[in-house]
Amino acid sequence: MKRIYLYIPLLALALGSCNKVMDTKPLDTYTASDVWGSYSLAEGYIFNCYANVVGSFMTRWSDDILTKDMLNEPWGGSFESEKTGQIDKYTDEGWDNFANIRAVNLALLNLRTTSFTAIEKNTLTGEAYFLRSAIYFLEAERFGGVQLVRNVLSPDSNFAIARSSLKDTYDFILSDLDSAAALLPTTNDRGRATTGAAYALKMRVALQAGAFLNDDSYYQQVIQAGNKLFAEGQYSLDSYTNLFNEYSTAVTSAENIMVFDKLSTNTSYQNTPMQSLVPNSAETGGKLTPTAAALFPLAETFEGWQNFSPTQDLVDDYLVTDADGAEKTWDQTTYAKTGGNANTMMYQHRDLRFYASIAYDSTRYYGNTIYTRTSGNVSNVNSPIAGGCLSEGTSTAYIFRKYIYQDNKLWYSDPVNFCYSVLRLGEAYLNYAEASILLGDEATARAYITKTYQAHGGFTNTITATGTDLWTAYKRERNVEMILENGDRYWSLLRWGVQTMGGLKTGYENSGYVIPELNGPIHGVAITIDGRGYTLFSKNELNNLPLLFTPKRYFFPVPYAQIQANPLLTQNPGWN
Amino acid sequence: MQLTSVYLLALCLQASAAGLAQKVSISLTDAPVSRVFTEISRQTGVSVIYNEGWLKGLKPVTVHVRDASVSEVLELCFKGQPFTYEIVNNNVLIKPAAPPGAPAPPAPHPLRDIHGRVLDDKGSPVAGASVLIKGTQVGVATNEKGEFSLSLGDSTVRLVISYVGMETTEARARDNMVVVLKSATQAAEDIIVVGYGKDTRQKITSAVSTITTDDFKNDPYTDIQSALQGRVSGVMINAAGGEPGSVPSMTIRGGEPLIGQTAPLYVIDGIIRDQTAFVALNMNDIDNISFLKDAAATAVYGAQASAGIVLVTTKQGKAGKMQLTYSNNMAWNTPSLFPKLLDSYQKALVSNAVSKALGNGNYSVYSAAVLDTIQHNLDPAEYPNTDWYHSTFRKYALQQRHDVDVTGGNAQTRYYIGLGYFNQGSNYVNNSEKLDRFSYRSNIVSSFDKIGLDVTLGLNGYFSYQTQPPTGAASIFSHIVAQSPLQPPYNKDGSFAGFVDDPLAEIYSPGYSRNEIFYNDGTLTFAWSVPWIKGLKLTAIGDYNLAYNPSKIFNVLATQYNADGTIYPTPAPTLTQEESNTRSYDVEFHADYSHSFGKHNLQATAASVTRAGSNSWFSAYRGNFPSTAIDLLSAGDASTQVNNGSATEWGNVGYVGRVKYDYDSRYIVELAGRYDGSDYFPPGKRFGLFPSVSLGWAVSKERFYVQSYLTHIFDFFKLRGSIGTTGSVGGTKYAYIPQYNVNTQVFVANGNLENGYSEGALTLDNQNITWYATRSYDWGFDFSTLKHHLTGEFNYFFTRTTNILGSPKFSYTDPLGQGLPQVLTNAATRKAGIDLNLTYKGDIGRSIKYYLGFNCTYFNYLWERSNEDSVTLTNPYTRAQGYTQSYYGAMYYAMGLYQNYQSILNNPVRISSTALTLGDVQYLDANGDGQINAQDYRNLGKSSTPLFQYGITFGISYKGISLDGLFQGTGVKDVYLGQYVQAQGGTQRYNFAFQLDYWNQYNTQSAFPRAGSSALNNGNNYVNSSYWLVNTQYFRLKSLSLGYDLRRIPAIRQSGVFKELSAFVSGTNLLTFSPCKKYFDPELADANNFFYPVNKTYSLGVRVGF
Repeated sequence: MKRIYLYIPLLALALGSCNKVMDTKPLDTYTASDVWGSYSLAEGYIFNCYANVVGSFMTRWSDDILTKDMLNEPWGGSFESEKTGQIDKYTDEGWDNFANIRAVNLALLNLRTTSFTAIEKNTLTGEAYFLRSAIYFLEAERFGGVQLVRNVLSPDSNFAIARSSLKDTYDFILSDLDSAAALLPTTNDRGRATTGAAYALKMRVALQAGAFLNDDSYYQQVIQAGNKLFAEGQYSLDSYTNLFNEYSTAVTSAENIMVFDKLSTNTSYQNTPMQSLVPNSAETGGKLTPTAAALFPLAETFEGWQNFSPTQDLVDDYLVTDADGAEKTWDQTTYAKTGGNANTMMYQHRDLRFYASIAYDSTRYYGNTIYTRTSGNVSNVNSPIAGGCLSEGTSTAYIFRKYIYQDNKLWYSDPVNFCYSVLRLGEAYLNYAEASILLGDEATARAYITKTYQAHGGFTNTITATGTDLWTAYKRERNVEMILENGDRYWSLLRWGVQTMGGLKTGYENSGYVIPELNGPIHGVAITIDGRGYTLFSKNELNNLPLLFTPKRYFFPVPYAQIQANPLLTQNPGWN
Repeated sequence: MQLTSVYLLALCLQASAAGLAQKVSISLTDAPVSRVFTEISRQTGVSVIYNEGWLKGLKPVTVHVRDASVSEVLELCFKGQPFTYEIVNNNVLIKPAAPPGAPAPPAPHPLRDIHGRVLDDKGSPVAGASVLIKGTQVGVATNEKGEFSLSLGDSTVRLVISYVGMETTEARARDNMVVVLKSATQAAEDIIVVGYGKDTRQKITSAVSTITTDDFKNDPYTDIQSALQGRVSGVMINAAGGEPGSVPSMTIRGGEPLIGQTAPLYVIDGIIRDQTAFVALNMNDIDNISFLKDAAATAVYGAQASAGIVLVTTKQGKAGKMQLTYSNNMAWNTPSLFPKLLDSYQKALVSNAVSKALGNGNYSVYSAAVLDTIQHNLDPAEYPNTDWYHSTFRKYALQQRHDVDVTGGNAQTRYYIGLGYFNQGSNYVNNSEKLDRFSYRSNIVSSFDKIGLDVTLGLNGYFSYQTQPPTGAASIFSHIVAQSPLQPPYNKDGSFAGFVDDPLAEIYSPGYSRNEIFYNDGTLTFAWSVPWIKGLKLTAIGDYNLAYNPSKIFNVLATQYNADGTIYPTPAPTLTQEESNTRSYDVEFHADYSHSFGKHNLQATAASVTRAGSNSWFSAYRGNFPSTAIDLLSAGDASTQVNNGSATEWGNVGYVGRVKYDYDSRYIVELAGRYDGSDYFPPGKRFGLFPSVSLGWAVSKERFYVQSYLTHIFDFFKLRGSIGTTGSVGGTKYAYIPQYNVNTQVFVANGNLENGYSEGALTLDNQNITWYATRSYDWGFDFSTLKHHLTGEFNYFFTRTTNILGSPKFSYTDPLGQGLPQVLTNAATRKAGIDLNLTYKGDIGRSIKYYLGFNCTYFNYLWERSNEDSVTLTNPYTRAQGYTQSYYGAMYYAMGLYQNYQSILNNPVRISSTALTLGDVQYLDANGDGQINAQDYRNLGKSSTPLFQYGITFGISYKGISLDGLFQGTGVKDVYLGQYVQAQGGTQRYNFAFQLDYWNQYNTQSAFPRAGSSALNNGNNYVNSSYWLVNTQYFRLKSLSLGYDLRRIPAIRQSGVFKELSAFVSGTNLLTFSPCKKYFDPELADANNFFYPVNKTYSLGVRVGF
């Protein structure tokens, strides 16, 4: 009997622990069959791709800093090294996007075998093609021909993949866009791709391809895609202010073909471009110099971290309707000569986009009247304007207003809605015009340039220029239309440079051809303290160097570490 | 050797010497007489008291008796030997026999009887203590009540009172004397708690350090983990600042940092806990702590053991009258070191200097006249001189601790209850950050002697409440540091001025960030000494644990006003509320067996352990609160609400085994291990075996050792060696299950914020994943010398970790777009080092006792083979593989500042560095290719966590006064100065007085480059280089405590009320020596000084026992 009692605990010891306690599982993740078996989960999978691809690649507002349109301010600028030619083969400008490519390829693979309705399946598949083309277009713009991964690779795949030719790369992108256009619906949730978005992106891609490949057939594709887009009749030009100065009008604007919007639920000022475009009046110690404080007090402080200022080079492109009713550059107007004060000489009767995009001396900005003049309340203490208060004020006498919603004071952690224009009709018109010029159809070009010129610029005249004048007018129009959107200025300047050279021919890196708009100093204006006079000045970039573009920079270098890892990769010309 | 000082007292001495009538059975052939005595004691419980020295000349004896009386045996032993014996108070005193024919001893003095009592330092009677007349072998042992009677002739005689585990004491003999024996700390160390069992210092074969809290329990440490710094060999602790509730990091021998295992496993009273439970322990409740350092000691924890084990044993009830002890400690914290900030005039000067460097000429920010105004404070309204540090941070913050413990009971039931309260305030001028912690610990043991069953119920837990300004200390300090002295803090009417990043508005926030923990734990243990099998004990343990952790952040600033009285706009209040619930259980069955036959001793342990638990968490948020009056979610703007939630579960199973055998405590061998399972791995791959073997050889017990008198050099010397494997869980949990992750609120579709789903890590078809395995070797010796005054342990250790899960990158896989699945890689790490501990205990005369201890730990480690990618591996200068990790990182080597234009022109510069001039940093073209680029990076500097740490403990006591202290320090460690301390952001980043030491033509040997900002030369001076490394090694007086035993005062002693009454003053971080003192406190060394500083603490306390 006693012995039996003894065995009970021994038995317990032996069997005491039950291995079933280890049969746990992750409680917060789905399985593959969950995701691809449910339309709403599959849709969420595509949403995740949108967030990564559109959020990173199609909202690249700051790429324009590579041009003379924008100046780095001392507070954490970017692209200085690229801008002044100080990069080398070790620099990585974003070569590796394979994770995003895999995500999209995985959707394409799995969507094939789902049991969703045809419309559901087509929409998600079309979106995946659209997103893949966006990734590869960004790569092609930067690096030329890249490694094309068309399928989901597995760990035992062969990864020694060489770069495809530039033509194959662009053709691959354009065919993805054709697939997308064939599958996508004409209307979709706001933020998601449609046939219109596929056509609009195709116009952008084909225009770039045509120049770099020196092949008119791509311009034909621009025209064809444009015709289909315009035939949809869904989109119409809106006021520039509606597009860029207020969230509620931006998201609902009929001009937007595709937007990327962010909600205040999980977005604060610091997650939007506003944070790095608005000056900061507190960091230097919270006060203006005695002169500035006496003459130009601030009613409220600015709480941005101004990284970038618009420049005189950009401002010059906003035309003025002169007293005679003709549009001229501001320095050609009678106002500039008769004057009175700097403001009336320079800033009256401008293109409406000027007032929607640029804050200048003696204008309202948030709750203040700002003064960008010498000793002004937002002029940079270290700039040629000098005498101001802010180390994070403007060095050029201009501050961006485009993409700034002034309904609330900017405070970095305050929640805010924000809407990026990803694709819109205005750009499509200009792409159409550029392709028309290059195909020799100046009349069509003039008609399409006039659309934004009148609707956005507020001018009453039509564009009548021809030949090189038309080209100049077109470039000017595109600059003022597209600033801060998707790096359009920089990539357009490259495209125009290549067009001028007649395509990227062998040896281009030594051609000596440089793009004038990407070389030399930047310009700003110094308005006198009384606001009566002004002086234009030139200024180097933040690193004290002028802009420097050498032809090898038509493409960025392939990062050296990549070439070391995969000997099949070839370096772009000029970077070895 | 003092004749009277060394006794071999039998193990059962404290049991009453009931039985001279008891019978003994002994069978010994040619054995030393002492062996017979031992046997008598063991079988009867009678103490046999004798002088070891006399027995040296005795012939071995042969005794074979069965059920003989003690007297019979002793007669047998002393047959023909010049000794006799006497039975006094149930003790046997051995004494020399008067030689036959010797003259009769002189007539004794008239005898008188004296009576006395022997008590321990808690006032409990000490039964079986030896009381001897000094210089003689005449003496008695105390009875159950600790009483003794002696017949004495000479009235001036002194008595020597001794007992195992207590310090031997002398006293003048007088009637009704009371002798208090203090417990010898060395004796407390004799029993060592190890994983799933106990061992002794003599027999231990693994690397284990132990500590009790006696030497520092009066010091004003905020938690036990802080208190351990510098006190234990092999244990390395790095401070985390003085903010209430901050806890330093702790490692045992550095852990295994390369596989992410640095924190040790915490085990409290046998159950695996976490660090939070450990630091919440009340120091008074701790009986002792063992630190298990090598695999031989840790293998019984198998797969969680690779970073070492901290084993805490809390106090258990003591039988006897109820005893109550209260102790408290009132402490004042003050920042130990905080660098001086710039005043207004210095700020103005440096602003001008920076502006000038940027090309704006002299006086471009502040004119000469304004400078004069600032310097002489002529216009304090316009140009104030605000000292942001002192206007936000007061000098002293109060910290207090109150502990009560109660213990008592009888042979059947014993109890211990400890209650603790700890409160720590902050140095914010309004004390807006504070921590309260209440803890309880109770255990009740009931013994059912008839069936050999002990039932223990343990209940313990704590409640902690911490509140702080919602902005958080790091952010507040960044604003204290970076706010300009030229910014006035208040308006004329005394309200907070309106400006951004106002530290005053932050600390005076009507909101808060509050974190509470409710932790409750219950353990029920049945320990059954099986009556039918001698030496077998079976134990069943059940433990259940609930932790509830709510937190609430009501984020708002104090109202600020513009100069005109209007409200300065700041963000509307927001509220975030979170709750985490964790429950877990632990069920264990143990079997312990011990058996001795002759000199052979065997111990064996087997156990099974099942642990499982789950956690759930959720959070909720609303913004736009119209007022701060209601801090509940319901008052917020419902349109802003956000919530979230998650849950996890886990389970582990382990089977433990250990066998230990020794021969005469001389040759010792131990095998131990655990077969451990975890839910990290796929079924079939869950279990791993983690075995160890260790050997010990007590050389000092060898005949040759004794015969060659080596005992005079080392009276104890033991060699040890161990080898074993422990494991750790690596990589990602459930890496064998293909998963899709949920990413909340990633994308806005049609104005709705939608969740996204993304592919999880790739999984491998063959699912061949398992535990990391750390093979550990330890060689060491334990010794005592200088007549037991100096004791020490030394260890050399080496570990090698393999089975490292990873996604190998040796080959090019970028186009895959994902990391490779986790596989068992060939990667391996190594770690090696030493730790040692020396303790000297001595006395000067009769009344001065002192001790001096030294301990240190050094280790280094490397990737023997890493999982770095092929490109990284090709650079021998910067790859991690093969480099001991004593470097800070890969960076440029800075050659100092340019002092002449030739060195600028004649040396390569970075491609993007522009406009270099004198006072800029020059970098070495390490590969000599005429360019300075990433190829010139080298592994430079020293590791930021110290690889060498040491401590020097000391103490001295004299007539009730005791002084205990600790010096502690580290070897070289580097901190890379952050961009704020570097001042790279221009004017607003010049905040500290030490930054004024910048280069100019009058100060060419400066600590900082020329004044300016990163804009000057495209950041040349601030690229990653050795220029900004600062050596932060230190040596500091970590603690000092002076105590006085008030019972030394006759009136108090005579009152008889107090069993304990002492008062003390103490302090921590009292003195610091370090090369980096001008920048920051060397222990915390926050790169930007954005951190609540390390405290220096002064305290007062009392300890009262009834």
